[in-house]
Amino acid sequence: MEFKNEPIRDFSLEKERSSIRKTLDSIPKLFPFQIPISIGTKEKFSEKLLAHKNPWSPELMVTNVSLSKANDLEETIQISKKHWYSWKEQSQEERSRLLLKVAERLISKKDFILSVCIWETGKHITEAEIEFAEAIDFCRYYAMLALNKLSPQKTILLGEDNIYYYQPKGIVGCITPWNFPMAIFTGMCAGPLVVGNIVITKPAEETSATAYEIAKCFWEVGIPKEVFHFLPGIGSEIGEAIINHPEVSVISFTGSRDVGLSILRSASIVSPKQSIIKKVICELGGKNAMIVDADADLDVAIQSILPSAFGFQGQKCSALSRLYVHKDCYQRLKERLIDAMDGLLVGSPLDFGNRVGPVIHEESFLRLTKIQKENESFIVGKTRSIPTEGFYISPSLYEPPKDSSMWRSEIFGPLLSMQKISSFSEGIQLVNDSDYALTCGVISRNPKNVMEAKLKIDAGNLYINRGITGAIVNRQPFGGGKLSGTGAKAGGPDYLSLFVEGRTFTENTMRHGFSRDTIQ
Amino acid sequence: MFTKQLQDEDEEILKIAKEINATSGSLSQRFLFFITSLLIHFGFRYPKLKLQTFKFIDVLPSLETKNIYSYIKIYIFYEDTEIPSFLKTSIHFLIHHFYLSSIVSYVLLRVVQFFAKLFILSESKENLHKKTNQTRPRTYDILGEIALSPREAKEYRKQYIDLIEGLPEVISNINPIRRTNISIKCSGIETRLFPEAEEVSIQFLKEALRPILRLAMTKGIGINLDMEQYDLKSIITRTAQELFLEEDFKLYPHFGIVVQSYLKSSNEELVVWRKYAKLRGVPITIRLVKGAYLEYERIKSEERCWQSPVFDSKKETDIQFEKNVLYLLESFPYIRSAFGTHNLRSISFVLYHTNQKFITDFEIQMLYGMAGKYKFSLESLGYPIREYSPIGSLLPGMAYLIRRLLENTSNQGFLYQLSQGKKLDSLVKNPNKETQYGI
Repeated sequence: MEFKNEPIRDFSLEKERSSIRKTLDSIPKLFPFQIPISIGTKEKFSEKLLAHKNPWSPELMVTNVSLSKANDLEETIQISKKHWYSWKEQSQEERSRLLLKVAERLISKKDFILSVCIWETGKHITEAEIEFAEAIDFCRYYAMLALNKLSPQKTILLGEDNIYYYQPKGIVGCITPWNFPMAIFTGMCAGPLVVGNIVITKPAEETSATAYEIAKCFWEVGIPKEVFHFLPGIGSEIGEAIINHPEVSVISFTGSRDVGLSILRSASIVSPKQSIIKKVICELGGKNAMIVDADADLDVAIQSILPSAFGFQGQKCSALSRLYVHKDCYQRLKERLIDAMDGLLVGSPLDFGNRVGPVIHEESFLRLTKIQKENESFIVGKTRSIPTEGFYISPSLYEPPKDSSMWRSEIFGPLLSMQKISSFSEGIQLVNDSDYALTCGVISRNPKNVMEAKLKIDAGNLYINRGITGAIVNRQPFGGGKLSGTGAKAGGPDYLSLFVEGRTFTENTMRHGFSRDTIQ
Repeated sequence: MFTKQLQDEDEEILKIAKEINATSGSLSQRFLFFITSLLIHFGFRYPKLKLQTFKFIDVLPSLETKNIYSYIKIYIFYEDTEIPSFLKTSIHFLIHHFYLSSIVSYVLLRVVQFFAKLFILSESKENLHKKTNQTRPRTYDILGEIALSPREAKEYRKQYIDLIEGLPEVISNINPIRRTNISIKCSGIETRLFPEAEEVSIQFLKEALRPILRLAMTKGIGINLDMEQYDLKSIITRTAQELFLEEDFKLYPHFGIVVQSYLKSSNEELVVWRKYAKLRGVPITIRLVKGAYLEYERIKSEERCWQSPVFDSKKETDIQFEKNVLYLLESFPYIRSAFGTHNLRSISFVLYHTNQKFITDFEIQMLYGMAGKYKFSLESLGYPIREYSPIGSLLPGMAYLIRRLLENTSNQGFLYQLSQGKKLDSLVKNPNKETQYGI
């Protein structure tokens, strides 16, 4: 089975624009989305609901999320245990086939799901388009990978059969983020499911409607509801319950560093009722850098910097936040970058011409405003024209001193810091001087420096002469080391092995000196 | 019957081609032809060296002169090229031993600048007057870095305005019908062009274009909107269609646009343009080209997993080009045609059919610095040639130089084939030939 990436829509065609436009405009009449808890075949709503507002028109309630509790989880686990056997005993061909059907189902609902995502997150249409294609890619890639890479291996001797095979690990708790509610949610659920695990997912509160629409696609093609449960709610309640439950074998988490580290701590405690060692897969933050070399093509540099730093308002773990520029081109780049930033159109994603939208919610908005205020004295440029209503943060550029926290802590917003370097090697040193090792960029036409970067830079994904976001399944398996996570490379050849355990059968086939193969 | 007719046609086309090819041109044109042939040979025989040289030319504008030699080392000496190691080592030893690196750097810079000058008409608008005394009509193009901000776009707009203001109203010894023309790169004068937001992009682009068009009208200068990558085609096309119908502009007969035959959709576009031109009632010019962004389109469509919008083979593009030529000529007088090509078969095809249809109001457009020999013979045969003439600094214009060098050294290119000693007969072969054999 050959894998091919899902094509991106050609927006220069009128029919493509008008179809998405129509769906996007029709969404508000469905507000607020009521998101149920789905436990096995049963759906229910909680008495209290959590509201999520629209980021550019905060008076609009987009989603009311039911809050799952620990007893919901308990029920889920009991149902799962009853139904796991038939799911894991299905042939790999069958589970992979189902996943391919999920991809088709998603495609049939593409415009609707994209639109829900945009109304929940404020994401730009082209970014949403690319993210959606990634969700499809995850389904197809993992379906293929499971078939091609996880089939049993046999070592047969004259008198001994050895079979090495993979067994699903059991119950996988997937705690997914709001910034890629289509791609990451789909990938995190599809991976463990396709190899026969049970998945209990807790989507982010902010994007439960998008996640629910996707989960429905899984169920509609025949992935049993008894092995794929949807437990929306808040992290400190249902999230924690999932992490601490003695029967959850794997916790797959994408989100902040603090939460990730606390998950790792909790998971290491073995409770009295527990008979497994929990495995934690974490995809955490980044403090991603780019080095612009003396010989860089500045057109390429700026075209790489802008979308990497300000795409989706900088709310990507792969986003660029540290820029190290060689002194020979520092001034020129800085001037052109500031001019280009001032030309960025900031506003509602309903207007496709806007490049930068609002940040996810008020909390983010206030946090980022505070950081902007604290660092006001280092600011060198920003986008001046931004709407006053909605959670808009103007993309801004700083030259902070070396000891500033802007160089160390993850900001998750459109704030970029830049610093002059006097050599490429100094750039590498500064890049590596970080707790994180997720993505990194190098803009250089010096092959020696490019080679040095490949050898020395600590980053899960190193990009040369291009932007540092937008990893594509199979082409750029995504994930990093250090405090950026446990190094699980989503969309890569090793991802599925995180959800299986190797088992070996060894059978002595000799009987009184003969065996199957010795008797002719 | 059908085949016979086609054969006659091809014979006539071959005759025209031979006639054009026969003249040898002036001394300087022969020299240029010689240089080009050298380049082509070099490009063909040493593909790895060619790649490295192009990479070197690409990085050159970002280098300080003193660093040039060190990049030669990195790009040419350290990388795997066809130059034997002993030669690399000895050259390096010599340069190093006699402290020649700065001199070598300087000389290399001048050599590249020399080549750039062959394809770039002038470094500045100020020097232009001297050169415009020639008898050849031109369309001017402004070179430079990509416009990445409103400020940079504004600078480009200003350059176009200055250029229009500075150019003579009518060039004395040129037929007034071949008036001066400006080719405008839309992504240079407006950065806010987004395929997903076509409607607003069109508004922005119109605003950027109106003052330029108005000024050009007052001076009687023609304006041509260049076509760029596929992503922007729809925006540029629609902008032109809407703008040229506006009250201020609807009667001006010297606007033009480009249709690229490498696009699978180019036939359909011409159909739309003919309808449009009929409706407008005042002719517009369509420059029919094969297309300059072939590699880019292929790379981008592979990246996006698209069916490529361009043809996979040169043959298909050539077939489409000829179809388009016929369609354009049938669209006369609603559409005035300009044919941008250096390919002898394509040129001869055009001339054969314009002769057949008795159409004289058309032009052949060629790039400044390319195919000088053909320009000369076409002119001496009485055909109108317009030169697409870039103006701008040599160094930032390097991307343009690379495109020209690529074109000259492409192994599918006409000049290459000719320099390989291929017979003219086989070079001006009908691109449909194989498929129509036996019909």
